[in-house]
Amino acid sequence: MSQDDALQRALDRGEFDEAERLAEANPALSELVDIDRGLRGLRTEGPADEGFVAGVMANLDRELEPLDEAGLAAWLKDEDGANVGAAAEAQPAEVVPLRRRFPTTLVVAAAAAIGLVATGGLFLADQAPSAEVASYEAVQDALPGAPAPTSSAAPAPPAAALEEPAPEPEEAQAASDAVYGLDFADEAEGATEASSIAQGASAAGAAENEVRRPRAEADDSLIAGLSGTPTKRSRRRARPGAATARRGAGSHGSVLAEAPREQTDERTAGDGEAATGGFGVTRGLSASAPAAPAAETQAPSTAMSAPPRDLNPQAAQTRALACVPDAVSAVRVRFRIEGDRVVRVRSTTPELGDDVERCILRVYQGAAISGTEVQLRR
Amino acid sequence: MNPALMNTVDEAALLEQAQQGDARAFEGLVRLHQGRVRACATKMLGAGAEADDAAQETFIRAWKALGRFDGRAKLSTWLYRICTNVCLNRMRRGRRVHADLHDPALKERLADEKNLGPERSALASEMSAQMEAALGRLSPSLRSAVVLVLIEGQSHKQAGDALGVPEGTIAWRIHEARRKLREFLRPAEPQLRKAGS
Repeated sequence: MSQDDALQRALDRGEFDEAERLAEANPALSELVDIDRGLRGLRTEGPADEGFVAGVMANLDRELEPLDEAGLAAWLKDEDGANVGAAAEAQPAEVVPLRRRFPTTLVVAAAAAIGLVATGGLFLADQAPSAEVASYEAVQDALPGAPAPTSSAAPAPPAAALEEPAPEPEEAQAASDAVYGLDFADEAEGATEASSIAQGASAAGAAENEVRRPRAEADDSLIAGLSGTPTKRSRRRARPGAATARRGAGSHGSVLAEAPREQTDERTAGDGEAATGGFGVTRGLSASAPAAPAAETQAPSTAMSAPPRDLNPQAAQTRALACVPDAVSAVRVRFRIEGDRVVRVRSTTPELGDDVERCILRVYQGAAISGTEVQLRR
Repeated sequence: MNPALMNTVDEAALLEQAQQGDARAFEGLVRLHQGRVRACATKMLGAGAEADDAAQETFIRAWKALGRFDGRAKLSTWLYRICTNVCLNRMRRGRRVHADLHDPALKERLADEKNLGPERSALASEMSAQMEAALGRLSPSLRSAVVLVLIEGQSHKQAGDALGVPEGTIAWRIHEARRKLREFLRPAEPQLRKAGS
C-alpha cells in the first residue's frame, strides 16, 4: 500500500495520530491532513458559564414542543439522498469496473474480508480509491474461491453513467445506486449474471422500473436513549424508467444476500424477484418485471431436493441484518421449517415489509438451523 | 485522584441522584457537560443566541428524559445525540442564523495563543473563519458527523451512537465531508498549510 493510500485509510478510520505520523514522514502528503488539522483547531470548550447553568436550571420546567422525529428522519434521509447523488457524480470511475466484473456480493464480501466497512451501499464509492479492494486481484485474494473476472476487457463505464448532469435530489439516490451497481434487480430476463456483466448488459430497453427504498422513519430512541426501535417503513417510489438509462453496464442483477460461492449456482435469472441490497436499505429495481408475488417468501419447492446448507450463524446474522434498514436495531425473525431446512421467514415486525423478509429468506433459505426463530441485533 | 477519573466518579453519582429527581445533582451534570454541548451547538448552528438556546434545550430535554437514559452509552454521547437532534431540528425549521459563524470562544483562544506571532495569529484566525464558513456549507448530516468526529474528537462508533447511524455511515460522511471541504477550501489551501505549520 502506498503511503498516500495508507494515510487516506488512516483518515477514513479516524486514526488521526497515525495520519499525522505518516504526513510528518512524507511532507508531500501533509495537505491530506490539513483539513483535519484545521478542523481540530476549531475545537473549543469554554470555561463553565455559571450564567448558562443558571439559565438551564431556571428553565427546567420550560414547555418544549415535541421533536418531530419522523419529520426529522425523513428530512435527513432526503439530505443524504442528495449527498449520495452528488457523490456519485464526483467519484472517480475506477470503482465502476470492479462492479462490472464481479458480482456485487463478491465485492461486498471481499471488502468485509479486508476490513472495509460496507454500509449504506457506499463503501466502494468512498473507500475503494484508497483501499486494496479497488484492485480486481484483491477480490480474489480476499475470497480465494471467487471466480475470475468475467472479462478482462470489460467495457469502459458508459459516459452517460458518469457524466450525466447532476440529478435532481429525488433521483439522486437511484442514480448513485445505478452507477455503483447497488440496485440490481433481476432485470436480465433469462440472462445469467455473469453474461450480463461480461456483456455490459444495457438495460436501456427496459420499461418501467420501480425503485423500492424503505425509508427509516421516526425513531423514539432519538431522545429517549440509544437503542433503536423497529420503525415504520417501506415507502415505495415509482419512477418510470428513470434509473434504467443510467444503469448501463453496471447492472448485473446480483442477489446480495446470497453466499458468494452459491450465487451463480443458485440464482435463477429472470425469476421476477426484486433483488434487495444488503446495505441496510432495500434497493430493488425490477425492470418491467411483475410485482413479486406475495408468496415469494416461500422457498421454491425445488430447494427441497438439494441437501441443506451449512450456515455460520454469526455470518448469517450479519448478512441478514444487512437486509434491515439501519434505523432498526433489532428484529426477531421466525422460520418456517420443512423437513430440516428453512423455507419461509416472517418478521415479528410486520412493518418491515416483504422485501426485507425476502432478503432475509435468501440468507437462511435451504439451511439447516436449530430453533425456529432468531433475534437479529446490531 | 486523576481529574478525569474524579469527573467520572462524580458523574456517576450525580447521574444516579439526578435520575431520582434531584435537580441539584442535575445542575452538577450541566456544569460538567455544558462546555461540550455548547461547543457542539455552536458548530452546528453558528455562534449566538440560537446555539445557546439549542444547548439549553438539550439539557432541558435531557432532564425530562433522564429516567429513560439506560447507561448503555456514555452520558456525553447521549447529550451529543440530543444536541445534534435539537440542532438539526432547528436547521430544518429554518431557524439557523447563517450570518454569525464565528465562534467567539475560538477567537479568544486564538488571541491567547502566546506562541503565535501577530502575522500567524491573524492568519490562523482567518483560516479558522474560512474553515467555519466551509463547515457551514456542508449539509446537516455531513456537518453533524464532522462536528462530532473531526472537531470534537469522537470515534466513529461514538458518533454513530450519537447520530443513530452505523459506524460505516459515519465513515462515509466523514470521507465525503472531507472531499467537499477540500473543494470549498481549495483556494485557501496554501494559507491553510502556512497557518497549520
